[in-house]
Amino acid sequence: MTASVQGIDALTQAVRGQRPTAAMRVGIDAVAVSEIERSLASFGDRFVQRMFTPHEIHAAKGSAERLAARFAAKEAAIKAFDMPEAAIDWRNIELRSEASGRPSLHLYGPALASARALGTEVLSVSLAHEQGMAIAIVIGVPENNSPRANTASPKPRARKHGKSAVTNHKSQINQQGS
Amino acid sequence: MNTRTIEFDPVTHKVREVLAKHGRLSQDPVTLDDDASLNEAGMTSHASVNVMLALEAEFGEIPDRMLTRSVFQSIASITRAMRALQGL
Repeated sequence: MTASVQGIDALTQAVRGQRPTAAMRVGIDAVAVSEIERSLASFGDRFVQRMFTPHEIHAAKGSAERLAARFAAKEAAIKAFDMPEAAIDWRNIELRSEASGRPSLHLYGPALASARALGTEVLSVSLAHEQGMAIAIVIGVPENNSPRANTASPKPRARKHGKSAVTNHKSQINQQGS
Repeated sequence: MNTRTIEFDPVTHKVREVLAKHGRLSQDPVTLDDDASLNEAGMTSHASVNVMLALEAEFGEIPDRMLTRSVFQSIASITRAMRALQGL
């Protein structure tokens, strides 16, 4: 199996280890890299600036594949937290990379409010690239349903300027499923 | 001979043009019913982003409050939104 498939398999096993609850949220999306290339060709910087945060733009380094993964993660989050009818600023959903290279998802403004309204306090994201497709899955759980915290894992921290981010605790879920 | 005059709506016409170019529908939007579901006609979430950007190029910036699935549900709903943008 490729590393990306192993990552999804590990996450799947970890999720199965969780007690099923109505409060667990999940969303998934797949995006063709060629479609992102088409958007870039048609709309250029307007597409990039409208969809992605400065951090995401910098991290993608112009790669359509990386932008596709970020787009898929945003769509997966929108599905997970029932956001289709909410006014969406796609930049309120941001994919970042931790120092370890693992992806983490951060929500702001109305996107954060949507997740919190559904009881989500901890969320995880996993990405895959297969045959020209970028795939992302987002899972959100309430804090009290999270597995026992790994003491080496960073705790959620309040963001500056009064904003708070629901952040990634993938290491907790992986510990549960291992 | 009785004839029916169908008024040409430039806004609807432009919306159909945008959908034809960017909507990636399974059916030609020129012949798609005004109230038909664009999602069921094959418009993906990514295609709707392209449609949004193309509509902005034609009608001006779309405010966040209009960036909902219900606005992009059909040709009719998009047309209503674009006419509202133009103050029509």
